[in-house]
Amino acid sequence: MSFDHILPSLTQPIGSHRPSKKPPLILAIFPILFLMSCAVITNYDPTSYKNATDIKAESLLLMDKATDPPNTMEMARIEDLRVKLSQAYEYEAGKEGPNQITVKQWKILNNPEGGLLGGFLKRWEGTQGTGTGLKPGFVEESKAQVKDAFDLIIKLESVKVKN
Amino acid sequence: MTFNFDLFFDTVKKGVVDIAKEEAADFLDQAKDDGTAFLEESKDRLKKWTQMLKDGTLDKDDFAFLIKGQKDLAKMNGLTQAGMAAVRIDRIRVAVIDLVIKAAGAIV
Repeated sequence: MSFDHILPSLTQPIGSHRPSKKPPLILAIFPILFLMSCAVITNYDPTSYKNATDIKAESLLLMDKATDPPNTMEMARIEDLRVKLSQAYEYEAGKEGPNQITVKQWKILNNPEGGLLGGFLKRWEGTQGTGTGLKPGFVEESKAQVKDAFDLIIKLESVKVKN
Repeated sequence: MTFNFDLFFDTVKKGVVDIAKEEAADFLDQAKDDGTAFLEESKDRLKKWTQMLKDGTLDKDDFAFLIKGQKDLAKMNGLTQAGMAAVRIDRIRVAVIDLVIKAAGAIV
């Protein structure tokens, strides 16, 4: 964003040659800079971006398996994914600066009582021992929602101010 | 040569207004588009799931879960919109700091 067109000559003399009684320049700009120094949201973080994109890919691949009850290996993968989701949440929660929005988003996504990834994994685990996994149509629709959820987190991170 | 404080503040004030107008206009357009797109998608999904429930592709528990998921998505969408508004404010903040420093630098 260029501001040259709104910066006329600021060095025009103001007429009088009396000694200036105006305060030093620093007293003019310091309050403005001080008031403007506080961010309202954290800056772009490449680790946050990578966490979201990596976990999104892993989640969607794992969800594809949910048309059958989870076997031992898949139970281990579910637990592994939960650890990664928890780590991603804690990473956001532990950041200095205003990051409540992203923290809330991860919380909604991970919630085992909710309708997104946390709830899906819980539902899938519940099919153990039943002989039947989740319906393929349901898995596809839920996957689409989980993909959208991750995309919302990723979108926000990608537009944040970069240092 | 005397530092013209009145001109300095007028310049900064005008610059801030221009920056805010530009960012606000962009944000309103984007927020409206995003909001409309989400509502349309939710409507389409609901129609689709209703049909899938009728033809047995989904059962009642599946349907209820997907509705819950869409409500959660609506919350997340709202949060992203709020976040994008905050990013706009930060962009304004950075632009104003830049403006003040340039305006001051022009006369130092």
